[in-house]
Amino acid sequence: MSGPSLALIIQGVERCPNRDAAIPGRRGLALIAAMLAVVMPRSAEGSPATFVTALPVATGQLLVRFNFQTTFSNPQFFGLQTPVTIAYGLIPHLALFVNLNRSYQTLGGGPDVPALSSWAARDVAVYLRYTVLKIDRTQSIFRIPPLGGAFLPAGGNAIRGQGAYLPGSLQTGSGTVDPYLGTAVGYHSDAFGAAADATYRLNPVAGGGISPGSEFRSDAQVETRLYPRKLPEKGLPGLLEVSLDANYTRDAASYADGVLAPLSTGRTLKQDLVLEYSTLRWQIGIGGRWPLMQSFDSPTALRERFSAFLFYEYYFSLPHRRHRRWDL
Amino acid sequence: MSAAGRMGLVLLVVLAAGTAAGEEVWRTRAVAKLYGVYSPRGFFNLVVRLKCLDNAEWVNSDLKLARITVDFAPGEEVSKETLARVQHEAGYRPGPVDLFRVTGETVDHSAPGWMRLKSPPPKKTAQRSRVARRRRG
Repeated sequence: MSGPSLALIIQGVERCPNRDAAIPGRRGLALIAAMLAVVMPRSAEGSPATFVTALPVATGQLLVRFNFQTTFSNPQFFGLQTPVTIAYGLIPHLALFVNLNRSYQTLGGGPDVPALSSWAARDVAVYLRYTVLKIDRTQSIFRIPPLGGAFLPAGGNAIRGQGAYLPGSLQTGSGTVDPYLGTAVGYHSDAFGAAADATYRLNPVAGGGISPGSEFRSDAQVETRLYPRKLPEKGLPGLLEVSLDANYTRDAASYADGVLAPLSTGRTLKQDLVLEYSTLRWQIGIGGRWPLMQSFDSPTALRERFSAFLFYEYYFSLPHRRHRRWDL
Repeated sequence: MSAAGRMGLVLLVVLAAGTAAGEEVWRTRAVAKLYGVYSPRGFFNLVVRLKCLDNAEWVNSDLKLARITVDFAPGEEVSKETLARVQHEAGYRPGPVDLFRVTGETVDHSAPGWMRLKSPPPKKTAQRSRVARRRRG
């Protein structure tokens, strides 16, 4: 997005502090904001499915993962997200996942114009993952677990500032219940791992506010152990691993107040590099994300420059009754 | 032999028998070959399920050998099916299980790698018990 266009939006908001006075320009502002909505709210958000690829969750196990992610984009966009992923094993093949998220984002700002910003909860993802195929061998695992659920509208899609909708990059939700479907596939051994997933989030058009377009995501990941190079004969050492993760996202057209926003589709491909250390009870990781390809219909769309993230994962075993029956 | 001497002899016999019986205390040790477990987190999946067993007390994990060793409470019998169920509920295909009876020096849980599955009672509770015993005594 060019500097003058951004200034136009900010000045437009500035000049219309009175809501009624802003009415003639509201539709125009909403449409411009919708164009922006394509890029940031979704592709900057980590895919909930990446984390679940092929990893079993034991019956009665509670797994909590805290993430902390910052995003820098052109021009003058900064985002901070704090997603928390909670997984619970219901039965050996079935696990329930909940993704909570809250984010802060700010756009623009300068000596004469104030920055626009928002701090709010994002939509909550709730889904079930069922393992349909598993091939377990000594020190290796292969899994195909499809998943299905929905994003619940906990975020805001009509967040306003100074009488008008804030740009889409500052909105935190879709305003509707969004069905969410996908599948993952993964192979892991003690020295090497590879996983991939494909998910689709269907975003119905909300009656008001900014409705981001439906989203298709596909991720592919490879990882290898850095330390220890040779596993000790006995015991359970902590493992240091490096992971490369490519994330492809395709966003359909957005809507503003139920009206199709022109030039609002986009495609992005980004590359993650993650360093992670895992022990019996926890895992910690740090990484960076770089865009490899950002293709938008709109020449003024926000373009991500760099994203950095940190995560910490902890495993609990919940108190539970002894199981009465089982079958292999 | 005087009555006091006979009493002393009986006492010695009882003590010796008690010591001998103490040496006979055995535990069941289960060694399970694991399928699909390739990371520390996978072993924690198993620990979650082992904690559900009332009589499982100690566990030792070997990542390279993909093997888990579980020691049960003294005198407790355990079946192979129990360990297979643990693996299944942890999300993995059950592997073969070997059961042994171990006694004496082979039961050394201070060696590296052993992890206690059941937490010992809190110190406060233990202190309260001691105080209560003293008061009663």
